[in-house]
Amino acid sequence: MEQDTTGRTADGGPGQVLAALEPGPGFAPTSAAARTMASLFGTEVRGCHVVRPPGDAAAVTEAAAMTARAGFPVAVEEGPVVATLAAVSAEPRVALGVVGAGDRPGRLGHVAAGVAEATPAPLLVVPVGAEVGGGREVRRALVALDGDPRSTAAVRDTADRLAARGVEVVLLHVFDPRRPPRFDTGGHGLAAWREEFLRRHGPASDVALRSGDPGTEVAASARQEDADLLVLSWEQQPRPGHAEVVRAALLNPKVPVLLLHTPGIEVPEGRAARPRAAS
Amino acid sequence: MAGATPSDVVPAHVDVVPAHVDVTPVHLGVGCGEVSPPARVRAPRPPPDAPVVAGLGLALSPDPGWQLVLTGDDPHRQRVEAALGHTADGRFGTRGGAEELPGTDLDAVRALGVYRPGTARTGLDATPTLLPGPAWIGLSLDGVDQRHVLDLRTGMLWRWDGEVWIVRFHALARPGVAVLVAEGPPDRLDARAELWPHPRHRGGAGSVGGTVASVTHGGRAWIGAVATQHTEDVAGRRRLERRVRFTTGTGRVDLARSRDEVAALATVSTAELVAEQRTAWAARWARADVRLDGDDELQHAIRVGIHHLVANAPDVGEAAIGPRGTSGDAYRGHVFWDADVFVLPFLAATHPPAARAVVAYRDARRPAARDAARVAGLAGARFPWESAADGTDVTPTEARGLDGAAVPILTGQLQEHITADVAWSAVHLWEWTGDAALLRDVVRPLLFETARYWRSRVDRDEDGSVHLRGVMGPDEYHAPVDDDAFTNGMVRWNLRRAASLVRAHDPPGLRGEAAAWRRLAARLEDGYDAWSGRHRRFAGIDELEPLQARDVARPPVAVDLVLGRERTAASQLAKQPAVLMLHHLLPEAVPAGSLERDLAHELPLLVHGSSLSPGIAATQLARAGRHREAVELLRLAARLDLDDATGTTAAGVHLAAAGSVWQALVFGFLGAHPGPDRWLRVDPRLPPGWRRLTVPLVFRGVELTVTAEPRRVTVEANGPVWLQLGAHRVRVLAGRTQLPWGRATAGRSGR
Repeated sequence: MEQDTTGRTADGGPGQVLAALEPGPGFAPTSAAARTMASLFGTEVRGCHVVRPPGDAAAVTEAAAMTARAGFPVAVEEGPVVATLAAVSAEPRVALGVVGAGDRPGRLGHVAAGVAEATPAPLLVVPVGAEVGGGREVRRALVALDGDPRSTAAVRDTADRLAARGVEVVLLHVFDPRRPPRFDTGGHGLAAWREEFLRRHGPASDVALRSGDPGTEVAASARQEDADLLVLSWEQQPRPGHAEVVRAALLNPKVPVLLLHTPGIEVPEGRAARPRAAS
Repeated sequence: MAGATPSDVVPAHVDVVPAHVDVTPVHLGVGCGEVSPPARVRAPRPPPDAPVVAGLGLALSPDPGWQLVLTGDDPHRQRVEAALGHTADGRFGTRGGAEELPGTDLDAVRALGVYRPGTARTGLDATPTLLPGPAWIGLSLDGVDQRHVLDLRTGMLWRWDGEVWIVRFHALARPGVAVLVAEGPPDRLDARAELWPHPRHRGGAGSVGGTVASVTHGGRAWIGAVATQHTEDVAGRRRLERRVRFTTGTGRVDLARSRDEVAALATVSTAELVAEQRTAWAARWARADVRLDGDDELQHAIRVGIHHLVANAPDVGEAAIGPRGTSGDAYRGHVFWDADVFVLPFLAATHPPAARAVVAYRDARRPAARDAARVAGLAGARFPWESAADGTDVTPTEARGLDGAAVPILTGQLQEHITADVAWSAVHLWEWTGDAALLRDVVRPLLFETARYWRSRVDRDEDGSVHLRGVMGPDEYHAPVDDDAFTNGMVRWNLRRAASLVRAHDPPGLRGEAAAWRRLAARLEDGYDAWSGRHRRFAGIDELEPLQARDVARPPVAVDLVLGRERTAASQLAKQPAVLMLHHLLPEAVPAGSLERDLAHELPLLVHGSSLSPGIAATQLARAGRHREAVELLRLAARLDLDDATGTTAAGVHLAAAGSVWQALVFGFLGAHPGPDRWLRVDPRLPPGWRRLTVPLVFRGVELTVTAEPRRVTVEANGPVWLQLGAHRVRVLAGRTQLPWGRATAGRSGR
């Protein structure tokens, strides 16, 4: 499936926001965030409640209650939770998956971690303390970029569409001391660098800059920048040494994190292709 | 173009557009913001050979060493390549973007020294910036390969595929005239003219009687363009020839003269314009092409830099050369010490009229510098750290820091060494040229007024010592500081040099001033410590954290972004070679043997957080015979833009870095330097692997080429030259002279 959170699938049909719902503290923020995203992109939303033992009659009743609480239909699926959610979210009509980060603030639950690793869909991970949807709309999205063109390619369409729907998109770049920047850092130099970063990786209203450990800084910046949504690209490989930024960001207690997949291979534009206007 | 039958002459002309009147742009061809039909996407294929258009004398230089290939296949490098592919005539320049993307920053036209006012109350945007001129290269093309090739030898930008070719250039021989020639099948080359005001600026365009005109405004300043275009279809091929005459002004717009000049150009064929261009560039290269046998890649990078130095420097009037020239708007086109200290030496030694224009820019703003000193309650003339049209200080007072919050910019207030730098540049030009009129009309008054400034500026302590407190040196990580070694060294030189220009027949008052300048210079703290044999960068630096660059990261590194501003300021780390800069500019004024000790102490502290830094460090390392490090830094500086090492080449090529590369080669490896007398010093230090270094120069009106080889130096001159080769002085006559070179003849380390 293409990385498209607009509610349209690869075949052009209307997409859906699919919320993975469980009873518990994460239910309210997850369902609210799913509603908000569906409203933002003008698409429908549905829920999915996975039960492990087949033929659990109580689950049907529970789903009905969930539907009433969520404000959108919640269906019951049977099977292993992570695998089932991954399979359901892989359906072509699913434009965006939404899953709760876990029941306790600052800890990532195994379902969220498993789904994030397995789903082919863009995934919104909602912390239990998220304010979005709870009377707060997505007004400001922070898009973290490391400057790698593949990362930019992964988030560009989504960032464009957020902006098109009135969301203020701000890029976030963290200067990593392990790969230090080499440029004139006076007022003019930094301004020129900032402008070029925006031109290459935007469109966005601004770029927020930090220096330090990227994971720590990205996680902290989401709150510092008053973001309602943090957008990250990743390779879906949470093995040691990888995805440190994603790992850190998913532990933040307040701001939902939208995970988009980095294309494995960058396909450069053909020489004869019309270049993208820089201004 | 003369004699061609114009099958499609654009009937357009605007005569006069008053600056105060808003003019609705006239739509000509594909207009602003309107997108041309999508290009036909073709599979990548090897580019065919560049066309040779014998009738026009057009042929791309076949040597890859003279070509800069801009592939156009990486969207992230699009603006970088637009800067690298920039073509200019010294006064006007156009970025190297694709012809079918008119009106974007990729094809922006800029005129040196033409600014529009700032648009904000605070920050960078509160200061003037270069005014974009009318875009002129727009074409409606169908699927032409994006690859451009800049012909470094001729200043022409080429683009072609199997069927279509486009060549464009700014005429070096006729500053203000730009030419575009294209040919291809009619279905792939639309004949409509596309010349219109820059979309960001109020302006006007229109057409009458065979020309099309366009104007952009910024405050009272304007840039006008008048163009003619002829197309001709013959045997299934369409040829389009466009000529543009750019002009600038303030207040009322008057393009009548430009229209007349364009009309007069009708008598000149395109072949003649091409021939002129080739001749003009050949003449400049004859005096500018530093040839390096033994490192082709470095040679190519050096040529790219020299090309841009030539293209961005006018040789008449005034030259307000900003850090990126007309190739981009970084640093808002303001004139910094980059022009005086980094660019001017190249011009002084290769094309003195262009250096004269740099000095003329400063000299014409001496009244503003005088006012600045007076406002500060001081005497003489104080030049601004950043300067634009009128010579007042346009340094912003604040800018966004890393976290987005406003941080104060202290350079305008504290980086006072610019005043001595300006004086140095005028003297430097005089030393290269021996121009008596320059000495009389510019150097003397400039040196006297700057010396007066310093005399009123310094602090005199009770013990008789003299200090300069509360300044910022080239090491911008630390400010304010007291007794910055570079600043004080330059001030002392300024005072002494001014005094040396006072003659016995000068008025007694001036002679008295000269005596005072000498006394002051003798008592000015210079930071040199005889016990250690080195300079102290500024007072108190030894008390700061002795952090070394390698403790943070391998240079170059913007260490203040890694450690934070406060931690950096609390360390001894240096942004750029401040003490070494003193050796660089004033090799005769530093104590013998101090270069090696300063290098040993300062290099480990140097992070090269400025693009100006590697070239200067390379120069001094070369003088000290530390060849491996010197070549490494030289390569870094030479490839700065090619590799987009700063991440900001998109906003223009780094002219000062290119100038520092030339200086590293000439002042550093060749050891060529004009002395205060009529002697040209040459003291080569060739690294192993360099078989030959050939440097053309113009010294006191004599054109000479100096070739250094491991065991000999060859001088070819068109007149006699007083040459100090190492420790030996010889008078070289016109013709070719070979001189032995080696340890026996070499001078002391350092100059």
